[in-house]
This record gives sequence, structure tokens and C-alpha cells, in this order.
Amino acid sequence: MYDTLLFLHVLGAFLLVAMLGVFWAMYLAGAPGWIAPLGNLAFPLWGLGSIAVLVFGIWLSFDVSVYNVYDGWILIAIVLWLVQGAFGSKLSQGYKNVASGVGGPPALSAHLIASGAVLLLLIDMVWKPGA
Amino acid sequence: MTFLLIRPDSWNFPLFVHVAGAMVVTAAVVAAIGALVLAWRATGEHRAALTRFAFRTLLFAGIPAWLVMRIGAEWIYSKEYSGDNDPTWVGVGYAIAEPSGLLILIATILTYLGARRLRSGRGGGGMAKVATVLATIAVAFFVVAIWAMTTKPS
Repeated sequence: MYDTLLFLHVLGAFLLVAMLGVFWAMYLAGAPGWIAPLGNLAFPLWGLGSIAVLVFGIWLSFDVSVYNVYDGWILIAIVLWLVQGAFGSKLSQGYKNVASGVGGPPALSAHLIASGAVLLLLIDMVWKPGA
Repeated sequence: MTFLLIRPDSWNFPLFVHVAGAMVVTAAVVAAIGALVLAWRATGEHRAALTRFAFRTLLFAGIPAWLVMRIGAEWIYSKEYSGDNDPTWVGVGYAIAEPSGLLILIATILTYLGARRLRSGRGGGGMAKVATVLATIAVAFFVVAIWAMTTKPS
């Protein structure tokens, strides 16, 4: 069970980062019309990756006896997940709008904050401060 | 179970470099595939622009991130194993790393050639399609690698 949960948790994280990569690529290209349809792809996949990271991550914390969901590093991870979720949803919704021909690309700050939160999440997952 | 979850602190940074590189190379290749698939249905200048976009994504993000992933892998390997006691999952990682890098390199070259031909109106769509398939195979390899690294089959 542990192996499967960890695989799905990490796979979700890769999907989430992959979609952030798509957002960045679209932003750096200036989100012109020819690339805009990628926004339709990234919107649901970012959500799927994001949810998978949280659900399987919390499930892991219950499955592994030495971890508790209220451990400091897990609480930090949940806060960082909320930050990336808030700004990632701005990005995914923004690029979905771009794909629909409504509005321009989301602000650079949203890309930086969402990506920064994910980077800190990875650091938190590797170092597990306090574990 | 506990023994699986504890590792020396000195392994953390190499592991971070390896995983971060793997995540970025996956993101770059997925973004390139998305653009190349769009290029299949596009015409004229849009098709050339999408192929050029995929080429730049692979060249400036995919290949450097693959190198970071690979350097991180060798770094953590040097700390964790001596070379004569490799478990199966490490072998899976090695078996996937170089072929995936080669696929990305070939896909990058093909998208470059395809973008050049498309821009000059001399075809090139076929090259971009082959690059799409190669990049997709690379992503499938990555999923197998993630499975091997997380489930660690003995």
C-alpha cells in the first residue's frame, strides 16, 4: 500500500509541475493565439495533479506509522499546497480564458508564487524538517 | 517500514537536485509534446511557430534539465551505493536514463529541422510528428522511472 500511495503521490507532483511548465512556456511565448489551446489541456491536468498530491499525501501520513498529519513538515506542506493551489488556479483559469479568447495571460507574480510554493514543497518533502 | 523513510542528511541535496531535474525535464517535454500535437492540426505560419516553440522548449529547458537530473542521479548513487550491490530499481533507472536522454536529443534535432523546413515552406511536418512520438515515449519512460524510484522493486 505504501509503495502505491507514494507512486501516485509523486506522479501527481510530476503532473502538477508539468502543467506549471506548460503555464511558464505559454507565458514566455507571450501566450499568442497559436499556443492558446494548450490552456485547455493544462486546466484539468493541473487540477488532477494538484488533488492527487494532496489526497495521496495525506493518505500516506495516515498509512505510515511514524508520520502524523499534524507533524510540522506536513502542516508546512499543506500550507504550501494551499498557496500553490490559490495561485495555480489563477494560472489555470487564466490560461483557460486565454484559450477561449478572453483576456491576456496571468501576471508574472502568479507564476512566480505558484512555482516558488511548489519548489518549497519539494524542499519540504526531501528534508522533512522536524521529522 | 521505518527503515525506508530515514536517510542521512547528506543525501538530501543530491536527491533534491535529481528530483527537481526530473520534474523540470518532464515539464519541458510535456509542454513540447502539447505544442507539437497542436502543430499537427495547425497550418501555415502557426504550424511553424508551434514547432519552433517545441524546439526551444526542448533545447533551453528539456536538455539542461535532463543533465541536472542525470548529474543528481549519479551524485546520490555515489553516496548510496558502491557499484557492486545495485538493487533492481537502480538498474531500471540506469536503463531508462540514457535512452530517454537520447530520445529527447533526437526529438530536439527533428523539431529544429522540422521548424526550419516549415518556415521555408518545404514540408517538415513529418519530422515534427516523429519528434512527437519520440518525446511521448520519453515521457512513458519517465513514468516507469517514477514507478521504479518510488516502489523500489528489489
